[in-house]
Amino acid sequence: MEALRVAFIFLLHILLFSLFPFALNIVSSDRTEAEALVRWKNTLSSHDSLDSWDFNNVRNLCSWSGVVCNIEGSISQINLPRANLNGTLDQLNFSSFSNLASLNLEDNDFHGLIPSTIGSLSKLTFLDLSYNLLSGIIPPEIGILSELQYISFQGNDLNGQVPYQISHLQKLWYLNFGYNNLTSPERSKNSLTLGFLDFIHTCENLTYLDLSYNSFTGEIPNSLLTNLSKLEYLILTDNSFQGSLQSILTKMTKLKGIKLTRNNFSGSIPDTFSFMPNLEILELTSSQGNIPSSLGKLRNLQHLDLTINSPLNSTIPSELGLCTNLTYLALSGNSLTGSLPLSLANLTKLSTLFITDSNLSGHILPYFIPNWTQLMILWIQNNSFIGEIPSEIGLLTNLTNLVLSDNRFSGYIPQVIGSLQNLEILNLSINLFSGQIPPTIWNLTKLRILVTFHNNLSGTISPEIGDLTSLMFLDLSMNQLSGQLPKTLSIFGEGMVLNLKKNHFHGTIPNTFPKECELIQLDLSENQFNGTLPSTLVNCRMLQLLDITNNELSGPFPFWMETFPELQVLVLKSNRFHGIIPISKVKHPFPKLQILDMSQNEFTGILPVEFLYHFKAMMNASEKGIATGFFIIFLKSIRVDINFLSTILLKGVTCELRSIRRTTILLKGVTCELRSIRRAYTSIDLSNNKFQGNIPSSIGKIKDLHSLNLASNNFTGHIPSLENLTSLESLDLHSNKLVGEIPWQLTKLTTMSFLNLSYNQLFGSIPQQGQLLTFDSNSYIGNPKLCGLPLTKMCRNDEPQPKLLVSTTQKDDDFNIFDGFTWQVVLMGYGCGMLFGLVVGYLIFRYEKPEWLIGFVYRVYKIKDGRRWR
Amino acid sequence: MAIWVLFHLLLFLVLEPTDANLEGDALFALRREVHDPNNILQSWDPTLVDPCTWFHVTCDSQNRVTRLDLGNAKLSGKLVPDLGKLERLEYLELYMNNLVGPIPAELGNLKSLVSLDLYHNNLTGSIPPSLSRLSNLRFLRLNRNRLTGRIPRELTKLGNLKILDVSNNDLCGTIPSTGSFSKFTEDSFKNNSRLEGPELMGFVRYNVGGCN
Repeated sequence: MEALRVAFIFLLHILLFSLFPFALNIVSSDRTEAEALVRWKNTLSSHDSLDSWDFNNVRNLCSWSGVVCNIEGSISQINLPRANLNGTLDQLNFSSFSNLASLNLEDNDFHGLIPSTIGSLSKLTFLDLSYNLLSGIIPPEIGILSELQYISFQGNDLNGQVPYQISHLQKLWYLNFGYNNLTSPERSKNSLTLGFLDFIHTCENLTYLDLSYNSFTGEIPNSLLTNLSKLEYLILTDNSFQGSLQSILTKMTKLKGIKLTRNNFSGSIPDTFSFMPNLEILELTSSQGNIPSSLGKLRNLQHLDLTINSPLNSTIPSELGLCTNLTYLALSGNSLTGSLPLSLANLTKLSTLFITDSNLSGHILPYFIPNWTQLMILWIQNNSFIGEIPSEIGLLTNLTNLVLSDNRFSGYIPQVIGSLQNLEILNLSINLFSGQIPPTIWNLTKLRILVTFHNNLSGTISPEIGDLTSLMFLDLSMNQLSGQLPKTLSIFGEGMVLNLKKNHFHGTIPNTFPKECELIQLDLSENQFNGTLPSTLVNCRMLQLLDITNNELSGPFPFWMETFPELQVLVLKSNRFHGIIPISKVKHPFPKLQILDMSQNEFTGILPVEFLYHFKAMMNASEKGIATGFFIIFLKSIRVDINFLSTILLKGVTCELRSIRRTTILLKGVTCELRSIRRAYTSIDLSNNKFQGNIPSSIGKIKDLHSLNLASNNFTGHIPSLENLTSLESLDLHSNKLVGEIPWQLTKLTTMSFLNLSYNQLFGSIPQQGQLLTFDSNSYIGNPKLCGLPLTKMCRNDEPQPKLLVSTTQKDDDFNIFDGFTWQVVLMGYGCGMLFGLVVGYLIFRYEKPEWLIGFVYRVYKIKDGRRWR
Repeated sequence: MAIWVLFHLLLFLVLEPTDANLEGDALFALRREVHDPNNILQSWDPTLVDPCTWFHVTCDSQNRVTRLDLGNAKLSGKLVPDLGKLERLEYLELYMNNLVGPIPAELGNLKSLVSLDLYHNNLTGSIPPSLSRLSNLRFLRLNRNRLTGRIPRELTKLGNLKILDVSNNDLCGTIPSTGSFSKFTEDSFKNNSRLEGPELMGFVRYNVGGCN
């Protein structure tokens, strides 16, 4: 019995011992999970949304924000999308969450790597890390998470290859790696399918696959097209995938959504859409063929984006009007001709219509518009549409974007435009509109962008413009507008651009720039403004560009702008500014200035040495030129429309953005056009003033200067050393009182394509070397004491010779072959030669035996190998 | 099929004449051909409507290229025939680089050219006679290359030629002495060990003399 009792106690102990850890486990699992969360939270630099995560609150773990528990009280979900969190995932102890099924950290600011310890979340089915700043590779440990059904890493900075271990995820139905920098595997020698992640075909449950905006290459393998029988969405936009469109589209007939634009697929769009009845979303690019009429069979189609860019003319097939479920239609960038087919009036659900950059013509018929009342975005810029805007446009009260630029629309802007109360973007530029800006426009209080440049609009700007409190981009340039500017004009929101160039405005610039002025660009050039620069402009410290060319403004140099941290372009050209340039009070005046144009004013006095010396931006011009940063931001915020922007400053000349080659823009979208305005250009133009004294030698230290113009002043002294200005393309010092010789170092400025030293008092001989050999006499005339080519005045021997110091790159006398050779010598030579010829002629005539003479002649000419002439 | 393609191509050209950037394309062909270790051609973006905003390129008011300034630019590689398409080019400055290969005969199409400076390179082959079509040429400097063959007699037709320098090459034959060449001295031709000296009109024919 005793034995039985012992056995019983023993068993009881075993039972207790085996239960105890179980009981303890529940508590400790709570603890460790809470502990792991709090510890991680404390490593985050911003975590305001996680206030409930607190040890004192451990009992309520399951009601902590973003936390969901299972029945046992263990965490099964962490859902923190858009929680404004900033930090890394390194300190999140994944192994503490043995029951976690769902982790959603979408749209926060997590950076760093995806930790490989994520592989310990063995029950994970849902993983969303999209729209963070995560970098590095996708850890292969993801492949251990065999329960995973949903992965999204979209919108991070992940790179490298996708680990093949992904193929172990048999339950996966949603895979989204879009918007990263992922690449295809290296070309493997024993595989015929090169490049593409063909291992994905083993994930047979996949219904949604998004690899868009990466750097994937290669053909889409057949195995993928055939094995993934459940695939409904295939999104491959913007990679370098290859292969024929035909083979993809004919094999994947079950798809609901397919996006293949911006890849290297070949062939035309096959006319096989009758076999893809489920299609709802279709985005394709092709460089050839027409828009297939079988698209009309796609009765479920909601979203159609075809950027064909065909070199052939084609028309919009009227069958498209049968796709009555279409809400999004984009046919931009095609060489479409003709007018819009009337059948499009059937698309009553249409909310977005992009038909830009084509050759479409005809009127925007009042016939369409009453049917298109759902329309929110209408972009038809850069076509050949004609006629007036029909007054029916007032029916489109849902419109937020109305972009009609670069067509041949004419007539008045209809009053009813004021009833489009939701309008945020209105672009009517580059058309033939005339008459006044209808006052109803000032009712559109949601308007952010109002652009009407390059029309024939007249009249004044109403003070009611001040009601447009959301306005951030106002470009009314190149019209016939007149009158004074209303005082309300300068009160605008953030990042404002104001361009009123080339109108007939007069009067003073209103002195009403508010304390928190956020103006970025102010272009009032080519008007008749008078008075001084308004003193409140000093509030606009974020200015990047100020251009007031060709007005009647006066006053001293606006030295108060020297502390503007972002000012890149300052153009005061052709006004009545006067006075001296004061010595700067700050160490680095105008820290970002790259273009300074003070020409054609009445500035006087000596240029302070520091004035130029401390132009930091010009000393080391970055690749980013004027406006680049701004335009990138701007274009991002409003997407692709290039015609919003009237002009950019590039290479010192204002050139219209439209001049960028059209076809390429269409092919590559915004990126290429941004690339083309990237280069920095630096220029100083102080010409046509009354500056005097020496040219400060400090100018020779602005080594990234591209253009220097000091012409038509009263500068005296020598030309300073400019040999460090290795980017200099243009040097204009004409019409001053400069003396001395032309410094030979100018010969080394090989990028210089314009040189004007004329009308000074330079003397000596022009260095016959390097780049100075490439200018004609216009560069030097009007210097009576200057001699040598290309001037006709030759140097006499007593003329001071320039020190032809031979630079390291040239060893011999190639550059001064004419040293000691003057035209007088040539003439003497001619004279002797003529006499000699006459004598020879006579002798030949007389003796008819010239051989001896030939020998003689060759001896005279010092022939090197006389043996041939025995 | 080929004709069909050609037809399309022609159609394309006819339809899109204004979008063409022929001069930019010609210059870009040069950029593609040469090695540019200092990246000085970085701004040459072929997607622009014309090359006038490219550094080292200068245009006239009609946006046609008038100057190409690439002296001492550390470029190596070959010249491209495409350069011959720059109809308004006045100054072709490619001196002091490491260019190799022949001078393309197509440079003879540069009918506005005033200055052809290819000196101080490693160019080979002969001086193309087509340069005689450059009726505006005033400066022709080909010195310090490895050019061979005769000095084309046709060059004497260059009535505006003010300066000629073909010294320090490996030219052969006799030196034309008529036309614009009558004003050039020995210095223009020196250091060509196989060069025979000036021809004598009426006595020794231009092509007399070994040039093998």
